[in-house]
Amino acid sequence: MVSLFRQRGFAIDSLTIGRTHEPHIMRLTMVVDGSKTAVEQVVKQLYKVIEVRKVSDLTDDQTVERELALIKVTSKNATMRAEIMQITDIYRARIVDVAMGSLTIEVTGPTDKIESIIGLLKPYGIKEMVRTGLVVMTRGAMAGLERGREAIRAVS
Amino acid sequence: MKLNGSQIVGRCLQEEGVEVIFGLPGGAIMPLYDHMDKFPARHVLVRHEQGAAHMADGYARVKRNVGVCMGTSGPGATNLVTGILNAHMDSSPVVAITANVATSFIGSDAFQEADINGITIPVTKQNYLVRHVKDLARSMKEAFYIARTGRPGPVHIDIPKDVLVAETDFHYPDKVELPGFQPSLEGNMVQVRKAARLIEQAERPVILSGQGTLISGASAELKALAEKATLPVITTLLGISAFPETHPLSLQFPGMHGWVWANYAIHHSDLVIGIGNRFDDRCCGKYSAFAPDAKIIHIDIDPAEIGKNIRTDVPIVGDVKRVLQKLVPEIGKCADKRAWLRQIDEWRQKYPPKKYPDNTPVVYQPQVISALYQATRGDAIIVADVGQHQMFAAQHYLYDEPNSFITSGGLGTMGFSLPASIGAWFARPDKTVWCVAGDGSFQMTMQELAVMVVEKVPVKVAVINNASLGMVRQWQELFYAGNYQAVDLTGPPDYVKLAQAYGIPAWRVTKPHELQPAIGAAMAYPGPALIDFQVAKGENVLPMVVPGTALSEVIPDEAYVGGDDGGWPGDAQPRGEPVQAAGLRH
Repeated sequence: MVSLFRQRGFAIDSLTIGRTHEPHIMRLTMVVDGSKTAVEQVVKQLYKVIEVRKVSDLTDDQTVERELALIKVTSKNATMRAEIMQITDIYRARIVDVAMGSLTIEVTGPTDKIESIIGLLKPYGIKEMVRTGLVVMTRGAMAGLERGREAIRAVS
Repeated sequence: MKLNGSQIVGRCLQEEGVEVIFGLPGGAIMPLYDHMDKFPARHVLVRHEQGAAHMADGYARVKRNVGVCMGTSGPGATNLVTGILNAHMDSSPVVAITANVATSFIGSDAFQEADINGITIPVTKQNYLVRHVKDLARSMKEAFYIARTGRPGPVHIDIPKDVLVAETDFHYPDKVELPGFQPSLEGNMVQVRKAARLIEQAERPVILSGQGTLISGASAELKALAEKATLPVITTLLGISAFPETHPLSLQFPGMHGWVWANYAIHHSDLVIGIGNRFDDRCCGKYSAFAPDAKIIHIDIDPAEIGKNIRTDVPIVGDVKRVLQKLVPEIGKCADKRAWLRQIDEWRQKYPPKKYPDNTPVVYQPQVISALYQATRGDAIIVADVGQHQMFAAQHYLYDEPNSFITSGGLGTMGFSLPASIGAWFARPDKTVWCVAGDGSFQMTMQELAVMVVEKVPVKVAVINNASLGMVRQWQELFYAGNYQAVDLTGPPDYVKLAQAYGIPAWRVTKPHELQPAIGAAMAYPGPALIDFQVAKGENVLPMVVPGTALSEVIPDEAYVGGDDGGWPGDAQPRGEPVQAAGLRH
């Protein structure tokens, strides 16, 4: 699938893959920049991959969006540590590791929330960061993907 | 009953009705070849795996069924890749089978190991690496089904050596379970009716029919549509032969080297009916200026083609034959098109193909094609290679019978025609098959001449020899200020002697009056034969739609062939020894 995106010149911002509640079915969530890539062509080309069961463009749907980030931040002294812990609290993030001179924060949320906490933590010095990429689910009782399992989210 | 992997492959090929396999063995695939003598299919030993893939492709296009090729691991498999991509670009159903090193060696950079499964992902419709013998029969079933169903295409199956010897109970599945592969065939009736209304109202319509019409076997339906609504029919390069070119409504082919009237007709139309085509750039010219006043109906089995290059007013996803069967009865009284047909006829009169007198000092490529048309009375399969001769073959031969023109359109693979013509003959051994290749193209796969001799394939080979990479030379003349770089092929080989070395009778033609005698002699010979047509070096293919311009800006052909054919000296002298008729006596 990555090969297809590269071949057709589609720009992927993030890509996550994981199991679903049905065995043998994996769900991929892709974020593509809709201003650079024709989303309709992405959907059609994905359908040509024989293993693909369903493709949904969730751009205009009501959705829950989540991403997880682990951020290792420099904390040189007690003051800095206290400030970082405060920020962590406000964002309902968690400190998952403490060492001399660093704190590791786990934060979950939509992309803008992650971007926002990163912005606040940057001045302390981010030593390392890893993000999972976005997973998305439609809101409401209906399964957004009814018979299928792959999602595309286009952000324009 | 327990069978090993190799026996299972043989049984699957039998279940699929495979008549012929084009292949070449090597280390990893030896277990399979150990059973080859028990396979019902005939095995044709090629001289290079690329030839095997093109043969399977040529076979598939004439038979309109799956062609099968085989190779060993590593270099055997990678040699197939050009041929597989060629089939992919031109929607040709090919199943390519390779062996790989044993599963325990995969990933260890073992001798003759290649990640061919990884390599073929972007060049196939689907591919398999069969790690367990129990998956083999299902994979084979799916491969054939996927290759021929919906928009056809190549499927690659890679089988590690240990899987070829592992045993399991053989059961060939009756049907496939592919929930992600459900091509829409029927066409939406609402859209079909919309299309019918547009056709009724159109005053300047054209049909632009692609290879999809041939794949679907819908020539009769296309003719019914054209005749019922009086629709001029243009066929794309790969769509040639879907509609009889001698029919008064045929405008032949459009695009970069298509006829002026066909290009004008598209440009000035008020309705383009695309049928089984993909609005390729060589066919359409500048997209933003394509048929500016026209509404577009696009019928194709592949939804990804609709709206990909050209805006579409009425999209119909479905199999061409089924859609046309629904569309034709929906069409009522149509607008008067006499003025439109008169207009097209005026363009035809005003911009006719260039005329060639019979006594030109040198032979020109169109004279060769016209002579072939006369000699075969239009009743042959022409397999053209890639380059100037390909365009002339598309222009100057009139194709009436479906699947009588085979060429590499999408990928433009030089070297396609010789092996593809062998495949074409296996599909229709009752037909005269002519391979029309430029001297550059011919040299890319000429080792397959051996196959023609050994397998007694009576294909006639026309080497259109201008001692250059003619199309590249033409572009250097037109777009690179005549700075000719690396396009001169003057020198070896002597094609007559080369053919003779293979035991193939050959003739050399340097003057127009020699054309018919040589072609007649080649056709009279019961086996393969070759003619070295030494043609003018500096001739350009016209008409021409320069890349980036609109179809309306097509440069017309010259009225007559002039004395100056591009300023290359020495055209009047034959190249090679002056052998007039070097037919071998057998």
